[in-house]
Amino acid sequence: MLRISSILAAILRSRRLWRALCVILALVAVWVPAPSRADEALITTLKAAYLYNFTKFIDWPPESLGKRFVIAVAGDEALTVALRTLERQRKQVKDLPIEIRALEDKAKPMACQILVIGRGAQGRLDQLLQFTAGEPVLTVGDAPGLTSRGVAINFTLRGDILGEGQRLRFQINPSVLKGRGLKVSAELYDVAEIIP
Amino acid sequence: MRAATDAERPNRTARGRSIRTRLLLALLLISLLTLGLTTLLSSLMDLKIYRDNNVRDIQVLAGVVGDNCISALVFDSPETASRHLATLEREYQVRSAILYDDSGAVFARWQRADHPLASAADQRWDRTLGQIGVLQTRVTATHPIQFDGQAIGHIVLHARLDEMMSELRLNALLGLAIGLVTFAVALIVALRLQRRIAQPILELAATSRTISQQQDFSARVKDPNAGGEISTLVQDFNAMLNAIEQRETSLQRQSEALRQVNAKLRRLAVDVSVLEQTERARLATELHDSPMQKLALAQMQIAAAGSETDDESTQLRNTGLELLREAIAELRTLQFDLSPPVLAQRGLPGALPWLAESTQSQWGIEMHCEIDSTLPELSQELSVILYQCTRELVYNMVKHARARRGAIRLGCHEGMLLLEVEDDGIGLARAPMADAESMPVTALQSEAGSGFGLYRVRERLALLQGSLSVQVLTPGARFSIRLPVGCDNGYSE
Repeated sequence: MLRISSILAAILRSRRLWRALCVILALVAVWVPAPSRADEALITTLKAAYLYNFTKFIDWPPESLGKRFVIAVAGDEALTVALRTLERQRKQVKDLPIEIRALEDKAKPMACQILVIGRGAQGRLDQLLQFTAGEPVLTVGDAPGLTSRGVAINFTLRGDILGEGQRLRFQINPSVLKGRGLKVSAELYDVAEIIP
Repeated sequence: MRAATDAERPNRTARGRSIRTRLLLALLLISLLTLGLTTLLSSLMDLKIYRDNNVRDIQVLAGVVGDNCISALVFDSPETASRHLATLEREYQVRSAILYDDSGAVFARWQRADHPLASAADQRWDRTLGQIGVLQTRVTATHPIQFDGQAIGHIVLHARLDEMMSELRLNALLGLAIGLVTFAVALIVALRLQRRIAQPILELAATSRTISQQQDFSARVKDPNAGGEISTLVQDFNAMLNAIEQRETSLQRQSEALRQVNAKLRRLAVDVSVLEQTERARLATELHDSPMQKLALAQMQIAAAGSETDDESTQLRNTGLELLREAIAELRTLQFDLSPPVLAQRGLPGALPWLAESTQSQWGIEMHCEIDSTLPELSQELSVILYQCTRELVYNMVKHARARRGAIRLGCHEGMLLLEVEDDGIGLARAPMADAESMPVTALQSEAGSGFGLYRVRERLALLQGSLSVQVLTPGARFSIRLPVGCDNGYSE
């Protein structure tokens, strides 16, 4: 008995062992599992649905609305495809038919109500924001930290420590929305992460 | 006080309860039943209103919380939904809330921490009275949640109306308190009321018993003037007493009349006996004074004459024969006085003139007789009585009036048979009288000096509802006999 207890005491006193244990715990704490291909498709579908649902909680200035409700997508083909489903379903926003437009590289964004800046268009984020500055256009990003760079709504993924039950979340920058003349329902703030 | 106690005794039933006690019990029972039913219904209505209001509030609450959870469902945020559900903590009646998504899976859930399970008393309540709709304390409200025209889930709230139990207990205590107060008030009021209601009945019973014991039908029950059945009962009872009293008075009068008639019959029986004896004595005197003397003298005269044929014997024999003829004539007169044959042959209209003639020829008084030709036919019995009365009055005139003229009149006047005997004699020594009916019979007898005669006439007439009156004339007197026409019908029977 004395022998076993003396071995355990020696182990607990080992500084190298304590250092390795702390590294392992830190890795577990920050590890976010990479989504699989099936999860990617599901998340894309969810993003399309969220984009559509955003329109139910946000009001655009009436003079900014034309004959169609245009959603422009830059740098995310999968999302464009998912959004075209709405087009095919003849969904309407503010009593206007939805029109999905994919924004080519280096092209200027046309008149639209929602501008989605995908991961593929991160490089010209500032340019796109500059083109639509002051316009009543809802800018939606899909990368960490975009709301602090001037994007109104930014998708994020949140999950537990074991990677199960991942959920699509979004951040809102109220000052950007206010600057673009968009009115957002409190219910949307209720489920979003507010970035001041 | 004692009378009142006696009055109450007959009203006790076989079960030993008086009318007052039964009235009291009935009033109290009705009051308590009415109050109990009213309290029960009022409590049930209060509970129903309270429950309906609470159910409606919880349904509204489910709608509000469900609408607040729309964004959480749309953007798949259970923690946001849980935060909204947790706001129900302030609603103390809500025990738990569950938010379901469109597939029916639980999206978020909240349950009150301090009352996770129903107490044993609550479970007992749920098993017994909680089965009744209005008393159910468990309430479940479900509200569907829609977004963009589509159902995206629903919310279910479970609540327990614990306050309803305390409300029920409060109502029960209140009802009990009101019941006790009402019982006391109803007892006091009922005691006063039943005394007022029962008093006339008790007086009625007491009066009835007094009447039955004392046979005094003049007593009456005082009408309470309360109207309704009791007044009717008292009035009917008094009317019955009136009828009984009248019948009793009538019976007493008839009994008294019967007693007087019996006494009169007894007197008449005695009078008839005395009359017979008097008549026998008079007949004996009449026979002895004249016919018998003459017969005895005739016997002596004839016996003395013997069979000799000399003059003296022949004179004696002739004298005896003359005496025999006189005796025979007197005996015939006596026979006629007793019952004249003319009365049987020609009736009263023929007998009265014969009486006048006989009186005139026998006593030397100038007699006058008048018979009304329109006189109705009289029965034999009435004729005999009227003849005897007339003969008595004429005999009275001959004997006491010292009259020189007399008259007999028979006729009808104002529906009455009128027979008058009048003379010009000394009349009555006393003051003039208009009607002999007003004078006692004994006085009239002594005044007339006829002994038995006038009394006998009056008694006979009284049997036929007739009357005898005497009027003093100057000079003389007039005796009048009045009889109703047809009075002999009853007499003849």
